[in-house]
Amino acid sequence: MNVDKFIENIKNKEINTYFQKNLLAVNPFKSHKIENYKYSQLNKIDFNKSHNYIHELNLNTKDNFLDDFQKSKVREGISSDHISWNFNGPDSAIRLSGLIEDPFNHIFNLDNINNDICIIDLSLYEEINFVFNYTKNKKISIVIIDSNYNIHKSPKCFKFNVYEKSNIEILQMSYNKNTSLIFYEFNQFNSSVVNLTVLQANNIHLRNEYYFNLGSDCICKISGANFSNLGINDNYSFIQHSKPNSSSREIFKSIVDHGAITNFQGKIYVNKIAQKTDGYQMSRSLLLDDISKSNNKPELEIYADDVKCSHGSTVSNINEDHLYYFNSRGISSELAAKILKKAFIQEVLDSIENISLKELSDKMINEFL
Amino acid sequence: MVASEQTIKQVNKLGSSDYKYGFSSDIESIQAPKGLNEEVVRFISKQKNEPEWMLEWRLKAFSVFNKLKKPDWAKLNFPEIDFQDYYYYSAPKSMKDKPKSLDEIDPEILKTYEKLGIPIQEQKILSGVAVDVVLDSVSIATTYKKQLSELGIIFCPISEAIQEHPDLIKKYLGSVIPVSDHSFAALNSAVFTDGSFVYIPENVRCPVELSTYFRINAINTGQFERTLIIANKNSYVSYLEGCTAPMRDENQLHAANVELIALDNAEIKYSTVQNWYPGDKEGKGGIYNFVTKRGACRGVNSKISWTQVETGSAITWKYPSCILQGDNSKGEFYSVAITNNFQQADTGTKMIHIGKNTSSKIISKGISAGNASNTYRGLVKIQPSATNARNFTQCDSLLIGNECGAHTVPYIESSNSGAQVEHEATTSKINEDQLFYCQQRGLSNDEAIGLIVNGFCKEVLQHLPMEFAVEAQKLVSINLEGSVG
Amino acid sequence: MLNINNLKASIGDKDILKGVSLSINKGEVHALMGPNGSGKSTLAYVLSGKDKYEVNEGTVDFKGKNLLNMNVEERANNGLFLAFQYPMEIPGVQTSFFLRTAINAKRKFNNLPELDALEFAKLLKLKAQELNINSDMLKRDLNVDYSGGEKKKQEILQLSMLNPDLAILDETDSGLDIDALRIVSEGVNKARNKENSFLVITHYQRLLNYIKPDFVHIIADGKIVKSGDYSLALELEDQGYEKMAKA
Repeated sequence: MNVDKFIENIKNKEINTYFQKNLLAVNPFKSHKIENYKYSQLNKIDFNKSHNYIHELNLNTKDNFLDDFQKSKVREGISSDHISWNFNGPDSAIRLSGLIEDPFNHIFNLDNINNDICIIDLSLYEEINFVFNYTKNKKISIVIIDSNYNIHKSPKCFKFNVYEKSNIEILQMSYNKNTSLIFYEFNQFNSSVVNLTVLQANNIHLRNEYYFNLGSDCICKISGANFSNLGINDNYSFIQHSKPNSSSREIFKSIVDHGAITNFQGKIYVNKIAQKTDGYQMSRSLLLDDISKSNNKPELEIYADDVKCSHGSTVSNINEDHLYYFNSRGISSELAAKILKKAFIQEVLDSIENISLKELSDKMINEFL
Repeated sequence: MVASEQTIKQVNKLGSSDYKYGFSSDIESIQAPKGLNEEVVRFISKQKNEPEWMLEWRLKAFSVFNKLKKPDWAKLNFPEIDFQDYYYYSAPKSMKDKPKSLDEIDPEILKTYEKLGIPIQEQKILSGVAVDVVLDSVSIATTYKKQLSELGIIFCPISEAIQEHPDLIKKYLGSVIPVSDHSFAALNSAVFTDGSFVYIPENVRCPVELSTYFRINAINTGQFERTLIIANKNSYVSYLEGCTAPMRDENQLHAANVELIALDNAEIKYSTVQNWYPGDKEGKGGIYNFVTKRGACRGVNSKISWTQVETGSAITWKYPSCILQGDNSKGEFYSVAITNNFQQADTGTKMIHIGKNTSSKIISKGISAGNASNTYRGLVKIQPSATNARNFTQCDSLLIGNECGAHTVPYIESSNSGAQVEHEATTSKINEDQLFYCQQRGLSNDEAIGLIVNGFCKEVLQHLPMEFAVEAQKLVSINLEGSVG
Repeated sequence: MLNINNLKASIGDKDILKGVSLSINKGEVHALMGPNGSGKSTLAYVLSGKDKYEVNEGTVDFKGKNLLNMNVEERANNGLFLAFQYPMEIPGVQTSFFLRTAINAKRKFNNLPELDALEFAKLLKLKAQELNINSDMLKRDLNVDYSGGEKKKQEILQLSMLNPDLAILDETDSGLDIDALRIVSEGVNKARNKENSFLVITHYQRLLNYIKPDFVHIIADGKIVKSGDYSLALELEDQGYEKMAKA
């Protein structure tokens, strides 16, 4: 599918009507022809490639790490009757439909979740656009499952209105030879907290976009790890500090090999009045062979003078001295590399606060690394 | 500034009366008519008495220019350039048109000269005052020329090189910056009027720092400069681009091309202090500076080092770059960019790693004050062949006041697993406690800012040749005068 | 030299100085002692003109001029020197270059010709030797990577180079080992003469063993609660602030 067809596809799904209703402030999925999106490779996206794997996956499910998690932890959330999910009983899950605030616009109210963790399995929804409102002071965690069961092949646009003093933690897991496009827009009201972690492994083509608009005294954290991918892995973030005293912290770790391409583009934008902003942005890549590629474009755009902003970016292979040290202690290079790769993305794992999500992520990383 | 009014007056005068009948052949005041077309390109080539192949080269470039779109990715905001609204050729004016004495020069400019500590005679040269001292300068130039030619070094205007050294020109001109690179490069190739040509033969270390100062025609260099520097095997040269004082410049648009070529074990060090007219405090006037500077490290162990202090121009669009082809070659970029009032700068570098064990280092210091916008934009590209390549980049931005912007836009592309790329950047404001400390020791606000900013830039300034560094330090302070900490 | 009358100052909406009055004459050394948060350092900053602090009431007369009307550098060039408790680090600025800039700023203010490089170097060498400061330190960036002791020595070096009429030492003894304390004190004592004055701010009586004050004042909660001669400092050491402040 070429870009034109793809955009046509978005149009057919009537995504424009959502824009007209101003549910999204930013148009999602722009083309690489715009300088700011230089490394996006939407023109190379091909949903069919992933689709060919679906049959194989259904026979040979690789979601064991998720099954265990669901069995032990999920009491409430959203999931499916998909053959690979195995729930303990009718109480263990609620459908997203239980949270509907406005069915026509797909607006959901997260306040209605009673427990701490909510699971959203993207494979269940043909819809493109979702709006989530959350107003409670209590912290909730959401797991977004983006696996190759997404037979609808539709891009997903999430808008989160995170109201004053509320606190959300989100874990997105993309895996299983997937091709997907996910767009996030976070509207953070004063003193709210968002902690978003994205794990991307074993995929064919992923494109994630993250837009944050921060009020005053907000905390925004994005941590991403991508590894063992098979094609293009593309992350774009735009963090806008609109008001004073907010902090944002962004870390992306990529391990690239076997001809994969990883792209990271991120911008911290500090408005003139957003004094005392504390912004930090770091992208690091381990580039393991010469047929793979790592592109990074961390940007700062700053209009306020009393701020502390920094960013950094590194690309290199596994440190040979480290490998040598492992070898000298009798550890094979293969095992040592695995340990060092895990260590490399540990920082992302550490950013997850909820213990259950951390365990789940750990399992996923071990599965695909 | 009065300078801009003078400019307008002169331009009007030229456009309306003296030259309305087309091309004049009076050697004292040659002027092409306003506008850009094939005729103008032919006229320039003819005035320069160029061989046919050079004219063809220019015409080809002109046709490329017509096809290319203007680069639009820089973070700069200015009205679209009307290329038909400029003069593309103006030879040195006759002595009688020039100001007779310093009394006719804008006192503001003189004040700046004074602060920079430029001697009176030199001030006169820089202001374009018609004095005999120019003759002194000729003799200085000739003295050097003799000394240099004994070593086999060629240092001459590029128009002379086209006549005298066509083989070198044919081989190297446009070999680093292809004519079709982008529209400003093509434009320059079509209409360049002058610039420097430097050739350092094998095993020669150029004993003096070459500078446009030594060339008398540097005084009235046109707006489309073309510089070509070739360092043959085992040679070394340090070149200073001399605009160490605000040139009284009559051109609104500058589009220079500078090409450097370093062969095996050769080293080229290129330093620039740019302080062209930045426009007034309201952002009116000033130079649009679109410069393409690129060096090719063709040989093994070759090295090219760019140092720039950019304090002038209303618009600065400039990315001195290194193509690191030879194994073990090195590229360096040290930059200070200061923008005040309504100045806009989008500047940085490109380091293209192709050869094995190539290394590059980028140190960039951006200072933004007033309503200015200051962007660092830099590309580090590691090709699959560049095993063991190393890059280190450090970009620091300083904001003075709350109406300005500072932006950092690095592009990092790596395709070799044996390469290491590191980028660090910070943005902060001028530290109030440091200011207070300096003021408690009796320094005024301006002095304190000048001192602290010079400290902030030291890493870059120390790469300038000694006498340049002293002037650059003063420039840094002068440019930030009146900005509130 | 200095006359402070009923000085009240605040930072934000917090009152810190609540009516300080103090007179210092030519040739005198005054010590100002007080517990944490009593307003000692605030007084130093207000006198030197730091803009975070707001003066709400009172007058300060310095050598017959209204000090409060001057900006920071005017106060400095008029002869007021503050030795900082935490001297600033300024990367990229060589210490000796900074010193020369400061001296010449003052000379310019007084319509004196600037010191040339040679004269300056001679003076610096002399003063640095007195304080046991080696020339390596002067080549480094101002206060960057200096130890606590080196920073304080550097402040005293500036004091002796700039030769102020009134020097305020803000807890110069903090962070100094006993040898550094001795050297710093000797530096101060050498700078003392009949024409200049000192205001020594400190927590501890220890420093006053080395720099003997003519007068000692105790400040508590933004006011000077007790004044006396050197014996007051000894009394304080013996009894503690709490008791003395109440008395």
